Amino acid sequence: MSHFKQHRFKRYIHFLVLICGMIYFISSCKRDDQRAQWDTEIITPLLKSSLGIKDLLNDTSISANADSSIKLVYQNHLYDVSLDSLFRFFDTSVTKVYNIDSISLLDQHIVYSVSLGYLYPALGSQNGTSTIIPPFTFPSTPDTTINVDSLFQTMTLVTGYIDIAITNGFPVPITNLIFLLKDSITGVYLAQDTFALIPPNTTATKTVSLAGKTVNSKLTARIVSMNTPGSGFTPVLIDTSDALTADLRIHDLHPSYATAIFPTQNLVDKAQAFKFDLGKVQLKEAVVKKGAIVINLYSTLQDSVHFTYSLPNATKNGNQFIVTRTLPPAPPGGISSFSNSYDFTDYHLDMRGDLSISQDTVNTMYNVFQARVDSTGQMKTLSLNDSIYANIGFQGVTPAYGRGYLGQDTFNFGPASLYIDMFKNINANNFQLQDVKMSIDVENNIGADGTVFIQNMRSVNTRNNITVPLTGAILSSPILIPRAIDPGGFNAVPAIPAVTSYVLNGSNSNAPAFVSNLPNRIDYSLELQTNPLGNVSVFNDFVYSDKLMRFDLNLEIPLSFVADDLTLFDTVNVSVNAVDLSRITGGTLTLIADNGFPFDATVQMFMLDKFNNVTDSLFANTIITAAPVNANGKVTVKKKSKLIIPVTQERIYRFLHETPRMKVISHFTTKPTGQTIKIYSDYRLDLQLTGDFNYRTN
Amino acid sequence: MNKKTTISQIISWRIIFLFLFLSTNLNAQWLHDFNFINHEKDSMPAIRFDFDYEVAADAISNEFISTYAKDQFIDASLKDKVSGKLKSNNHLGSELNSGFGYRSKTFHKHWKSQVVLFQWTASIKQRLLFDASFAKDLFRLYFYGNKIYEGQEADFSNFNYSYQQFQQIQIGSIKTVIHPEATMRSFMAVSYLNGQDYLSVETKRGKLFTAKDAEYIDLDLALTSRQADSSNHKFGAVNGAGVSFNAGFMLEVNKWKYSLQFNDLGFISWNKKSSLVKIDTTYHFEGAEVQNVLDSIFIEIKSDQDFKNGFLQTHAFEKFTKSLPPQLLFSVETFALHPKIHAYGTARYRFGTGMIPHVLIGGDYLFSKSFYAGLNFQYGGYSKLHAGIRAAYDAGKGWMFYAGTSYLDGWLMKNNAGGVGGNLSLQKLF
Repeated sequence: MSHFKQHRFKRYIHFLVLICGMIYFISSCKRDDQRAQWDTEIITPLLKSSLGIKDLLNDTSISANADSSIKLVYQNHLYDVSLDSLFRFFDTSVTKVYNIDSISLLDQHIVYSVSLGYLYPALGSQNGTSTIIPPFTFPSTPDTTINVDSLFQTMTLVTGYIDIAITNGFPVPITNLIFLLKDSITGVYLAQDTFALIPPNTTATKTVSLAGKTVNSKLTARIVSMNTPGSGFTPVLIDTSDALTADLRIHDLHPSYATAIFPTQNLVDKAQAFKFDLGKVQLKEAVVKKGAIVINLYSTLQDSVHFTYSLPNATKNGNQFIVTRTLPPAPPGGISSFSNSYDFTDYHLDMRGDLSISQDTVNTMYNVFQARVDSTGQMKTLSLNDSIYANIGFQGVTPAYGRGYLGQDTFNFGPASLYIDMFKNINANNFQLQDVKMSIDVENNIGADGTVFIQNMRSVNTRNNITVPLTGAILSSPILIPRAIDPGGFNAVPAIPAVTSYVLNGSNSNAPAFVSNLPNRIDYSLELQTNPLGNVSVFNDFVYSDKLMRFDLNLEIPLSFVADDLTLFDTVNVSVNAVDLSRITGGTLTLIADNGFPFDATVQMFMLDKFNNVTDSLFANTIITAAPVNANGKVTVKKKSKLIIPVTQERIYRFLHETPRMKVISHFTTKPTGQTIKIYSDYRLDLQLTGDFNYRTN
Repeated sequence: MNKKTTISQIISWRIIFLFLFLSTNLNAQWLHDFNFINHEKDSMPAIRFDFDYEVAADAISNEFISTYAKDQFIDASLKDKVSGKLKSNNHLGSELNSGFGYRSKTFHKHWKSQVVLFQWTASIKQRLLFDASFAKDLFRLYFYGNKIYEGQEADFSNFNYSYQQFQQIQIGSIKTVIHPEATMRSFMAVSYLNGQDYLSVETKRGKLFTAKDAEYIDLDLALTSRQADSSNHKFGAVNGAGVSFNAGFMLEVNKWKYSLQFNDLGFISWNKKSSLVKIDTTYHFEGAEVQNVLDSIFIEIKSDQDFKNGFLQTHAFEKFTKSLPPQLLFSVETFALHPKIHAYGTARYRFGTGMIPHVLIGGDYLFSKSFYAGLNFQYGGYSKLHAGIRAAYDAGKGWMFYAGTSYLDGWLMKNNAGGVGGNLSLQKLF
């Protein structure tokens, strides 16, 4: 490229840079956040609302009469009778040490025999021939060892017998036979007896008691001596195999201690009654709502023990409560144990005890405890000193139902206080209700009679410290409460409660003055007596845990009243989110009120800071004029009023940033003055908030 | 070939040539601003910068526009002055163009005893087009608020607002045919358009009734608004793309020169991030319903958008295509009155806008071969009668400067005049 061209190219570049710079400057010199501003005057509706009497009297149940006039209805509990106050199943445990009643052993059968040839060898040559046997004294037989260690090793007997049956198979009588049986190990004679005469081919039996004796597994038998008078002159056929047989039957063995092979047997089989402590309540029947039976077992037996625990009178779906369990063998000198908890929910309890004995018992259950060992073919050691320790506990048992006699008792409730929200935001200088209906309602779901005494009742207004005691006949006479009815028994059909209502009004008490006090608290105390006439149901009182006796206080207040400066006040939370009102430089808010109520209202809203201090009030003028009433005392045309709220930037800031709550106070004075007015359900106070703002916009 | 026949033939040939896209392009400003002084320099390669702007209205004063544009506070007296001039329907328009371009050297050809010159051009520009038509009530609602309409209806129907900014990259050609009796010049250019920003609002029906004591407000509104992606509308933002076509024809016979131009025949297709708002509703507002003001005072207004949504019917994001408002321009100029006096007249009209036909006449005096200056008068467009001045200077070594304004009264009498504008150009010939 020539020098000239290079120079011209550079000038191109300089020119382009200059132009590009100018374009960028022109295009980007304006910032988005810069906008022209000007003032406008904006008027707009902001909020609207319509308040009925339900809105004005917050937290209150309001209902309309047939003529659409309004009454306030209030209900609250005075007192609920709890099941615990009548009776309860305290945790109960039954502890028992079951010793072994007896131990049985298998019967033993031992046969011992000796032949004629053995005892009288001289006759051997005449075997098979008939000959005369002369009188003869047999020699003593040697000791014969009998080994029974396959049955037992040792046993010390409480009771036991040995039957010794000697059968004479010889052709001649045996006389003065002395039989001896002794323990080979200890040498102690177990049995020794004399048989005076045993004719040929007959059996003579003797029974010897083994009580108190210890028998080991090796025995020694021996015929100490025996004679024969011979065959006289009559030859008899000689058969040297003819034998004298001793049949030993050891039976009815009940050792106090034994090491043996035991037969299957019940070691414990006990039935036992126990009683629940229910105070004055006598139940024949109950249903468990919830609860548990805890079983703890300990055994010293060195054999597996099968135990069975049952409550025959506790049934669920027709099945009695029964627990079976096997305890393992206890180690020598030790114990085996078992512990478990069993759900007892929904069991029906027949609390009349063992019905085979009596059906008049109350609050009583009986249980059966059995302990059994099986024959295992193995050598075990058992002793009457062995035992089974059982602890049966009833824990947390609460009833769902009870039937019987609930007792005659007195329950005091109070002094207590009932707090009423109904009038909490209302004050008045002169407030006169035309009438009220105040009632104490009792719903008795218990199958027992009762009487209630209202000991005292006071209307307390803590805002002006005025207390009005209730007066009237109710304080001097009890309220009789009939019993509920439970046709068919437990859950057959729903029980029918007995409802009693004691009405208080202006004719039998000072109820209007009591309520006109605008109480925020009612103090009272009650006394309840159950079964004042005793066991008139003959053990057929009943109670369901979820349906008891309930005392309610009911108020019905017809809104027909005269009020002078009736004041409603409330504090409302203020939450204004993300509103940029900084462009509002001033103006006014106007609350347009179309009043359909026949009372003047003076409304003021106060800004509260976080310490609830009043920092500002909103309205410049505060009167909402009453709507006029016609000849029937009813409003037919609403009355419009305007309340002005001056708006400044300072006030806006305070409202947005420094006012977490606002207090609203409304004063109402009924119009025409002194005339009782009625409030109807269609009365409304329509409110509309409009804004007239100076708004700086861009 | 006689003279008449020759010109007719040439014109016919030019028109055919124009529509066959075989002719060259000539930028309008180049045509107007410089070529009448130094014909011989039209054939030289050049690079130049142009900037012109115009803001005009038939009722709104320059002072008001200036205050608004400068983001200053608009006080009550300023609003009152404008308000007093408002008619039932009012117009406001603005156009801003800036950019630089290049013109090539001349390529010669001979065809049937005629001398034919070809040049090609390229330019890049920043464009802004704004047009608004509005009712008197709309101005008063917007700048005064609705309190003045308490108990009355404000009618702001037939409000039209169109604003767009785009960058234009243009390539074109100029073809000059020099005949012994006439010189003809045709031009044609094709542009790629980068859509930067767009906003249009059209209110076919708009009425607001404010009840006494503001107990309620009735709004009857049928509005359509489209807006390009509002998240980015700074210089160079790519929110759309389009093409446009410019064409023109000039005939110079003796001392008279006639030219006809079509500009901005084209469109921009704005992308799918563009928003569409359609409202067709009658909206009755008595205030936000509060069940029980005694329970709590809870107000949550996150933004103005919450209120708008109260009657919003359609709000969608979709792409759309919008044509540019094409401009037709015709001009006549001559040195026939005097060799040193250049007289000219121009008429233009931009279709699809609120402007009325715009006519400008004026004259320049050539003080020397390198300097001239003159006066002009215009009527129409978005405004009424205005006077203007302009001057050009050839500084030598290829440097040429041009500056002017058609709103001299706008600069001198801001309070009353309803328009302001000016243009500036620099050119370097090589």
